[in-house]
Amino acid sequence: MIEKNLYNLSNENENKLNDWLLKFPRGQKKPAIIYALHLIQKENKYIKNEHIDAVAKFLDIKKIDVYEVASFYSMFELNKTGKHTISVCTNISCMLNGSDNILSYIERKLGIKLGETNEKFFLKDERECLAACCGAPMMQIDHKYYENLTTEKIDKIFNEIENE
Amino acid sequence: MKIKINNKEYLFEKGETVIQIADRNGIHIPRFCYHSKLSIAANCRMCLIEQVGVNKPQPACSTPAIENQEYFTNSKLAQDSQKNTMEFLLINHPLDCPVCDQGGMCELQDQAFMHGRVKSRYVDEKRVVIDYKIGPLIKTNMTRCIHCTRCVRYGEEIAGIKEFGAIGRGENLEIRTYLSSAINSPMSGNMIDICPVGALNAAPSHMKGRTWELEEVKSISPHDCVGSNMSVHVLDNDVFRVVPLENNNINEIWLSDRDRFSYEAISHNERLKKPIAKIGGRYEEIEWEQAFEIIKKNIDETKFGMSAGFISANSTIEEQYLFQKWLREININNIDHRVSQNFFSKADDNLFPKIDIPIKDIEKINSILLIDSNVTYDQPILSHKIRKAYLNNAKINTIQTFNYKYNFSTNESLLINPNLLAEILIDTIEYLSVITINDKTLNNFSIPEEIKNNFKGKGLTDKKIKQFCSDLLFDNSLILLGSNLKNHQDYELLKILTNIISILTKSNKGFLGDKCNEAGAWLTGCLPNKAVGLKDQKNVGLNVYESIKAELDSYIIYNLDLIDFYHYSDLKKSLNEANFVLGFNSFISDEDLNYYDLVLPLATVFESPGTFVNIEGEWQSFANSCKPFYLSKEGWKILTKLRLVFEKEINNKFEYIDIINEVDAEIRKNKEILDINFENLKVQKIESNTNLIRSGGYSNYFSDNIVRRAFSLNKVNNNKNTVSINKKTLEQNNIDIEKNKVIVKQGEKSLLAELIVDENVSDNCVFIVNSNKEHYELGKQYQQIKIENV
Amino acid sequence: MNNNIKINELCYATLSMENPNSFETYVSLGGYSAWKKIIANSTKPKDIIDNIINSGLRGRGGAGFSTGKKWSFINQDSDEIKYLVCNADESEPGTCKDRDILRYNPHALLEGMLIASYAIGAEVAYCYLRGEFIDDVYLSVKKALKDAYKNKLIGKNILDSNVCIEIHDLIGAGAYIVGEETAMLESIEGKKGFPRYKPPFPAVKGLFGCPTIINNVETLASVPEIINKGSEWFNKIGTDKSSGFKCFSVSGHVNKPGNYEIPLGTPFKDLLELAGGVKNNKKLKAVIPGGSSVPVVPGEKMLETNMDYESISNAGSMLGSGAVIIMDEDTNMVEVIHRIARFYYSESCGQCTPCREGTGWMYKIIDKIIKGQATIEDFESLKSIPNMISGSTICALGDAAAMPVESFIKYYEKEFLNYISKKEKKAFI
Ligand SMILES: Cc1cc2nc3c(=O)[nH]c(=O)nc-3n(C[C@H](O)[C@H](O)[C@H](O)COP(=O)(O)O)c2cc1C
Ligand code: SF4
Ligand code: FES
Repeated sequence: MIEKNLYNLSNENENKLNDWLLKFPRGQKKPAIIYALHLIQKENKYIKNEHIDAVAKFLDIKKIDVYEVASFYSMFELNKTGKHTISVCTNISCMLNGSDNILSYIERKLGIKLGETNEKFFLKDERECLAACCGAPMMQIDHKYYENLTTEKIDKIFNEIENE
Repeated sequence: MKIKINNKEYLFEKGETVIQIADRNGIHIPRFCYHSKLSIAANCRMCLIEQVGVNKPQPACSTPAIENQEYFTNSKLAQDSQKNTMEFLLINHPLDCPVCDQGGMCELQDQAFMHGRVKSRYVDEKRVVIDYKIGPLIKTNMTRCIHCTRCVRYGEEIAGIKEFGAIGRGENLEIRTYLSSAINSPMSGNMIDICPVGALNAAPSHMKGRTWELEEVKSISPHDCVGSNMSVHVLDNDVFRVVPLENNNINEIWLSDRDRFSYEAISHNERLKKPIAKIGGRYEEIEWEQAFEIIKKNIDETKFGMSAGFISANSTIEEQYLFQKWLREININNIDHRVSQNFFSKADDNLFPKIDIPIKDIEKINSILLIDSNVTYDQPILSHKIRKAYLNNAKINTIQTFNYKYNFSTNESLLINPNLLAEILIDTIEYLSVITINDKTLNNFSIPEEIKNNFKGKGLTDKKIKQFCSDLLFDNSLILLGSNLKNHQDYELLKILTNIISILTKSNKGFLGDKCNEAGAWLTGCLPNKAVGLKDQKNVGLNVYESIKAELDSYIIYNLDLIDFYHYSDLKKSLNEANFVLGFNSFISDEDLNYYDLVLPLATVFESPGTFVNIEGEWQSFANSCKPFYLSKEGWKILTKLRLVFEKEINNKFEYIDIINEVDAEIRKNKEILDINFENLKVQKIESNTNLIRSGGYSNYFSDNIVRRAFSLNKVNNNKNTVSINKKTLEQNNIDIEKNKVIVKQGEKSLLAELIVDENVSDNCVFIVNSNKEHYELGKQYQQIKIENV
Repeated sequence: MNNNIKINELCYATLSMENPNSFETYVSLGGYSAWKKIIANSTKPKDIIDNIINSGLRGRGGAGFSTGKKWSFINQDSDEIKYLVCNADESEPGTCKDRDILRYNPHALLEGMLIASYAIGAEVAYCYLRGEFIDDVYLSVKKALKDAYKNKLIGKNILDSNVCIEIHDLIGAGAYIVGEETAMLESIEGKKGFPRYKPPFPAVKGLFGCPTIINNVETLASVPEIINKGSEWFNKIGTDKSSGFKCFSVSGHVNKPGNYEIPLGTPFKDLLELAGGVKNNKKLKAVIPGGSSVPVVPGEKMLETNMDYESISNAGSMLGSGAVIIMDEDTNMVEVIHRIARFYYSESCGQCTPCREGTGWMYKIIDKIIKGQATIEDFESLKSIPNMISGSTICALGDAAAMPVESFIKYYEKEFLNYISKKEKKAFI
């Protein structure tokens, strides 16, 4: 019997990765792990074991090396997430400008708590500062920046997403 | 260059770290992550010391010594820093020393005692880490892990297989395998030794005793041709565990899993307690005296030339010496130890199993050609040396019949069908004969005509052969012939061809063995045509295959299971027909017992003193670690007693030391170096053979009667009833690759097995492991085979 | 207010223009002329390095080490491959100055990277952006790179000379620690961001084992103007030891939070005024003058301090990354340090013991304090931990986690004790 792979990288992604590898000295494969995981997460919303296997296979490296990277960086989600990932910054500058209220407003609005996910949204437990302190309070939805948040502004943003 | 530590001056060489200098001079610096055989991580921060003039404490393990610099390992700054680290480490470390295997030999416990604060100020909940199974050999208790990453670095750097990783980050950093998969390295047990706490424990001895109650005995590994040094820890006459004993010429501080865990077989339920004999058609336990009477009577009745004796190449040199001596004294000349060899031609009479260079020098080799060697699993310590050579930029090339997994990378490798091995080596010689034509140093060597007759011009064009040759022509190169090839019908020819290549390329060579004392068996003359000390034997006897085929009247089988014989089925047929079959063994399976008239209970290597000669020719003696099991006896005692029974004129008070003296005088002091002799060489015209052939010695823990009974090791084995074949071969034989079962036929036997499509198998080849019981009857590797759809 | 403050003249020079990040805008301001001059004159790398040393430019990433000196650590005579890495991992809480350079003036960075690569003899340079920039800032950098390549300013045989320098963009995936220079090298090599122990220093053995220089975005973006206008010009701005301009991200309780590029040595008062003063006319309570990892400074003291390395150091803190976080009189300091401690706890890489265990221990105690569950013994432990961590870790994250805790307790111990006495009282009742 032939063993089948559970997941294969798309041709497009394989090409992207091959291009990416050109940035590094010949024979260096690991430097493409992070980019590979980004590509996969973009397509699949979160990273499953079969994705890790596929990256290891494509780059011809150990699965544990890919897993170490996937588990280290906070942007990689290893558990099921919703369609959109929301990161509300609650670090100092944002906190000083009321990010805790913003966060609880969003929690109430979406009916999920920090770290939880529903079909549509995943409310990431974001502990990092997202480098937009002068636009505090702020959040990212799918890595798009939304600054100087107010409750009205939030309503508008979610309306737009709902109507997509 | 000089530095000062604690006000005293010490000399050092450029590049040394402070901890190295301190260690050399017996100055104590605590450490967890530092390990002299591993790369520096500097992550535990336990070794912090004071460097005069620097206000921050410096880690001794990663601080390069600076000329005339002053350090203090015991100043207030150093002591405070060490105390702090200790307090941090204990925050999340469980206080379960009383139930921890590591207790009593725990680096953390020792250092907490010396450097810790008396009372912990941390009062919150401790981190709890979920444990998961990583195979039958290592029991984890990861809550105790202090994240020193020694095990991770060991995997990457020494074992060459990264299996553990540091997952996650921060306080939640966890040392684990991917998806909790089992550890696969054949040297995984060393992680138990290097883990400074009780996070990684030996599963077989887990929770079975406390370390301070143990007695330690030096011993030598009884399983491969390396002769690793080990320390056997004994608790009340039971082997509690086995750990490596440092020997920088051989195993350094490592031990293969096979050597570490095989001791579990000692208490296997197939262990013999007393002699067992077939009396009136039934098997009964009998007394030793009665056993000797039965032997005397039966052997006396057997006609001259109608007996044969086979001894294991895993027995000690003392046993081998006495075995052949006893047999020859009673006129039995059909003696052999090469039971796993398939075919004999007398051509290799002098190709003694050895390696031309000391094991420790393998790491300095510039280029290695491996011929069908599964070295990483068969001789893990040699593989470690090859890996070191590889890390020193040696080029490793392989010619192989299966894509073995190595713990080093290969430069060029050639996957070929076993039938073509000799051909490819002849092609190689052909190429070498051309490129070395002007080499004057080779003037008094000429390639035998028998070989030249097989030149086909192919070797001159093959790119890989050219690569192999040009690498072998480097200074200081090595060719190794794998131990599996003993089963190959061309084994002797392959040895000769390897020898010729080594002469032409001025390379070193080695014929790897899968037994621990093969050299001993040769030196003691456990061969039909060689006497003690490799002298020619006057009354040449039959070799093992001839003896089996001749259907003799009596057989004596020493320290071997029947499955150890390549000609397993033929042997069983002959034993069935024989009048008297005598066995010496520590174990007997119900199946094997049926073929014996009498089996004597033999002490295992753990229960007897002895000497092994390893592949580099090193003689290593060891004492018994514990007393023999029940009424079993040491081989040398039984054999000496038998010589007395047959009324040989030997001193009644014959002691162990007398054999040592005899062996020393006759063999050790009398080294005979053999030269290759091409006169008997007969090589048939080699025809390209396209028949399907079986390969598959590949199974880690099956190599001898002890290993195959070691409980935990056998759980590691993949002994599934499977058949692996590559796609091309399947298509050529019209096999449906979507099906999951296939029928294989070997000789008259057939077998239904699971089909695996595997591109690691060479063309025209069917891969089936030997070690599965369902495969025993089928025969062995390197025989013709057929495959059919179900 | 001092109306003569020069603002946004260097790294933020394009900010006030239309299409600030376009190639044309940059060139219209004289962009790439420094680079072209170097190529045309085949300027000696050593001259460039001397120039930068003389200018007094110091690293803007946090440590403030002389940039020219750092470059001079590369052994120019060795024929090893050399690398330049631009640290665009901007993650220090409070800091958002590099993001604006990347978004609005990426060509200044690219030109700076080219000059730095040329000066240290690197033919490959990497610009490593933090992962969260992937759908926003990253696009601006990629476009700038494309334009620069199109104009033959980067790549093979630049401007038909025999100079070849490739610049590659890279993207991270969320880890503050990767901003530490050796962790960044690990991350570029495709591993977890575990900082390396030093020595060896990156200038000797860095990326892929080769000599490597790592510089911050702002540092590199300052380089072209220094080449253009000369080291004298730059050196004269600022104070004696703190030359030139510096970008400050002013955030927190201010009316006009934002990035302001001003000469070093400008009084804090003026910077606060630029940022519109404290919100709601409240009084200033405290300031974190250089990102979350530096000690906090009480408001009164800060109002007397100038914004340069030495003055802030005299005030008991550090200039760090230039992230100025303003806190008004109503700020709950325990809550602030709680947030900061949480940050270091979740960003510690976990490699070395004091940081892995110490950040967690500190956070847990502060968390207990906030929840009113801590005892006075807990607080005593908390006080001792920063000192146990400082100076004993592989990288500076340990210090970064320890310093704020130490300083918050130093200045605002009463607020902590308030929480604790509440608990003691509860226990009493
Ligand atoms: C924990 C930690 C985080 C850091 N984060 C950053 C960062 O986000 N951006 C940055 O430019 N430098 C950061 N640094 C400083 C860098 O290690 C390094 O000093 C800097 O990139 C050197 O550039 P410069 O000399 O141009 O300042 C960080 C340092 C530490 C210890
Ligand atoms: S399991 Fe043992 S060896 Fe491995 S990191 Fe933990 S303490 Fe160190
Ligand atoms: S032994 Fe030096 S830091 Fe661990």
